[in-house]
Amino acid sequence: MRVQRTSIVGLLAVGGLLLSACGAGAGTPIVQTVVGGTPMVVTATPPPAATFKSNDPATLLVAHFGEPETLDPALDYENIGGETLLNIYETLVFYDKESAVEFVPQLATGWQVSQDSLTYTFTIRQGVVFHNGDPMTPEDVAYSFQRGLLQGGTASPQWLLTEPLFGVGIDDISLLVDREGGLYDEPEKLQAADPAALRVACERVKAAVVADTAAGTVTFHLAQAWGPFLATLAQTWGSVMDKKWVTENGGWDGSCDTWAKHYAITSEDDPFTSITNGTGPFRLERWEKGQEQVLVRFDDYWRTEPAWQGGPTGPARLERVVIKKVEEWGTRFAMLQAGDVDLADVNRDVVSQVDPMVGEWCHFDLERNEYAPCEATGDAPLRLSMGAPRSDRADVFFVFSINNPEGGNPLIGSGRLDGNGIPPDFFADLHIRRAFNYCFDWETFITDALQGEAVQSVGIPVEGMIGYEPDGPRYTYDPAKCEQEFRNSTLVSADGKPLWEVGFRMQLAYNVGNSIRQTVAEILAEDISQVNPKFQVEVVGLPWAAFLRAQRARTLPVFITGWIEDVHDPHNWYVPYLVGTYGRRQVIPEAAKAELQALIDAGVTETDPAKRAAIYHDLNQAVYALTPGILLAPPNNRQYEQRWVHGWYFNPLWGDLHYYYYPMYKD
Amino acid sequence: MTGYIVRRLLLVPLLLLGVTVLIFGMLQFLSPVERSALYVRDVPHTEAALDGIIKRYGLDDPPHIQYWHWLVGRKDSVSGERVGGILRGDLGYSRVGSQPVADLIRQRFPATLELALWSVGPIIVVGVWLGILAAVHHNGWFDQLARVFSIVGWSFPVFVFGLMVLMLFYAKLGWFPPGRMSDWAAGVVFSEGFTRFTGLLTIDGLLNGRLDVSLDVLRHLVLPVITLSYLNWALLLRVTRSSMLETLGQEYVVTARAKGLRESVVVNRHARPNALIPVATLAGFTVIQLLNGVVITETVFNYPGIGSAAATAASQLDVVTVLGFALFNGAILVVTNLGVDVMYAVIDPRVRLA
Repeated sequence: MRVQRTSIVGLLAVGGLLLSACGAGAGTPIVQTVVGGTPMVVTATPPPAATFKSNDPATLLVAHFGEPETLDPALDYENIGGETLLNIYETLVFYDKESAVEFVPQLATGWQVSQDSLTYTFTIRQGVVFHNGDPMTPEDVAYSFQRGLLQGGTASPQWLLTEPLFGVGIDDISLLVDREGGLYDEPEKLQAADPAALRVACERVKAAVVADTAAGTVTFHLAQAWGPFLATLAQTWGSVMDKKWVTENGGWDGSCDTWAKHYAITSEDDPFTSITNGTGPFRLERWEKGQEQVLVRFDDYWRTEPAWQGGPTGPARLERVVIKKVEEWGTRFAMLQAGDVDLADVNRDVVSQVDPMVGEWCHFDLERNEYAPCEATGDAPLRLSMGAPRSDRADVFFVFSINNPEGGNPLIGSGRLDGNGIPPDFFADLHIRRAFNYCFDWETFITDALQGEAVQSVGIPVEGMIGYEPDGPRYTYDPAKCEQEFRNSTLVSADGKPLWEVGFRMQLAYNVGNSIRQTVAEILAEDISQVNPKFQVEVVGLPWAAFLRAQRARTLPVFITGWIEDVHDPHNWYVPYLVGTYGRRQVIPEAAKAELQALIDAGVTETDPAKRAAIYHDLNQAVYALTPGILLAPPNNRQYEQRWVHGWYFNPLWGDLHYYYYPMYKD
Repeated sequence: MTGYIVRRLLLVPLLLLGVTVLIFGMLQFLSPVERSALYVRDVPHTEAALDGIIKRYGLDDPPHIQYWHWLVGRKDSVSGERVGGILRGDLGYSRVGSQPVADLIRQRFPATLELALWSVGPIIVVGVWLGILAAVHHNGWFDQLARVFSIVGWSFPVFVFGLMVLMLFYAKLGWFPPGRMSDWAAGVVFSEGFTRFTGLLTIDGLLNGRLDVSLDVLRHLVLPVITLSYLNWALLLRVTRSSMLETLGQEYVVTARAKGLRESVVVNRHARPNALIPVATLAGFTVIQLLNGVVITETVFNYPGIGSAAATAASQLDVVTVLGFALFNGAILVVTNLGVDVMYAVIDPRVRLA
């Protein structure tokens, strides 16, 4: 009888447990009467936390929309090639993890700077080997810089090194042969130049970067003090190559009799476009052009001490990295969903598609300048790191003197102020430039194109660097002031009618596929035409090649283009914007340019931060007075990755465009 | 029959010559900067450099002289070497592909050929079969269904259909990935121990004793083949059905039935061969279309064929590359057309006796 009763009670208890499991939420306590009558609290077992594991934890799969132009670190000057180079080659110093302005030793174990800041002496690390087994020596270091400088060419990043070593304004080695600039990107002319002049230029380069094998050092002799010099050396154009390997594979042999043959080499002719031999944690296994690059771990990697606290040492944890070129967004998206890529390029205009796949959110704490601990919100497979301010920006540039070959430039219509076009000097009028600024709605741009994740720029430098003045002068969207400036314009038609009465028509071009620049153009066009219906701004999309060609040919009245900083220093913003890459294409008037150049030169050679800030304050005022363009807003980063990926960190110089694979690993 | 084939063969060089004249004509519309890619790799950056290249490679010579040099090459006035010449296999330099155009075609064409070979069978066999079945069951439920299938297939943009199957069979189910092969298979194929005898990896896998590679490549072909097949079935089905219906209404078919022949004999032995004549033309054009590289399908599935390469070149305004592809495709068209004409003669005795 007792047994029967016990069985019945037990069965009831079990049945009750089962029933309660159907209704109870996780963790809900349940009181049951079990055998013996002792009440017991039973808590339902919570479901296990989702785990995210990759099918192939040894291989990192990345999907980019493009591929490198070249893998020669002395020549490459774009971000996709830069990412590969970052992982294959190394520099004397490297960024201290997330910092863009603090550096740790890498191929140098230490350095000394002279009192006058004109001499930098680096002690070269011993025991480092290249991927082919050759030992790295100080001579390799000096050779790498000499080769890069002598190879030159305006398409390369060498201007970042020629300026500090040979003087502000010396942006190519050819200027050491012909100071007038007649040999820029003219290899055949340079080779035909006076041999004595060629020899002198080469010897100047060799004197600027000197190896001392006995002492184990390399010394740089600068032409003037240069604040961002270490930052310049930390980038990929400061990579160290194996002199013996380079020479054996058709590169410069180190002789001053032969350097001119390699001047301004292009990626098509460069023997090092597709082959590499660095000291980095990965080596290139193969590059199938148009398809993928495959990097494999370098098992003899030299690093025995971490570069920063908690940093990796020894060979990389990842065995392979496969970087696929996947142009089509739909395909990249499908690969993310299927878990077949760990990292993929995600354009801003499709984030709403990807965000539902995010199960872990990591927000950047602006006050502490670091990421807060991530929050898991569900089982969705992706992790999103967002909110860190990036150091790249798209802006609008006015062309002061538009090229109108034989009057046939369709982008400026009739080429006259007759209501059906604009004259070539349209943007030479300050009122026009101001009007365009007052007619730009930054709030709509930031909300629509950047999902509200940006702050309007104040001045050319980005936040966090000398020269950035949050309370500095800036334009705001003000249709009334826009109208006033257009009315104040001094431009008149052939029959003396003012601009406001005559109206104008022009085309505003963007490069097809770039939704952000398209949005900028559309906002500007819409806002201007609302001020006066006679002002017609047509938005046209051009293929990238055509857009770049038109920009260089100065046929675009306005160009919308972007800049990713090379070094985290205001000089790297002011120069291209005002006197370099973009400034030249804008044809800024000589008088204004001279004033800006003087301030730029003073700023970069000043080593005292307070004095430097004062110089850049004056420069910012001058830029605002000139108004050469419309400064937009650098977007905050958005980095999507599979949740089984770890080790990524944000450095503003890389943003969400570059990945450094060494510290990364997968579950 | 032999005479017919010989006559067709004699026409081939003339047709190819015509294609070259057409392509060359289009080249003349390019600027000297763009045409310089026929001889040099780098874009001339200055006026002086461009003038030098124009003189060195005769880019301002009379058109007939330029055409001749474009066919056979010319002597470089500086180096003394012979450069260029499409008959020497030099189609110029692809600035987008960072390699000579001929090399780019050589690299990409095997993938397109493989996709075409695996697609053509399902497209033609299934498409024709569906069309015949629809015609034989004229106005029955199968015929109605086939017609709806055909309209839907014809209306569906390739891009949309491709992305739909990609999302379903890859993103959701994980069955059939995009691309040409998995990463592990790529590691095998590009290793020194693997010989690419044909460039067709489903075959090369077998020849190298790596069945796993062949199966992996086949798995990657499924979605592009399904996409291409579905869209081509729609057209092939309609044409076959119409042709079959017309043939089934012919007097000789009525006579065959009146003689008491079984329906299967009437359809297969009497009607079908005649109904397939116009279908042969369409099938030939389908093969040509596949060999030219199907741009959208290759782009959606990240398939590294000549279609996607040509699309990238076109979007980057690398016109020399695009015209190099056009020349290559023109040659394929001429040769394939010859095959279609010969097939006509085999199918239809009236053609070879004419």
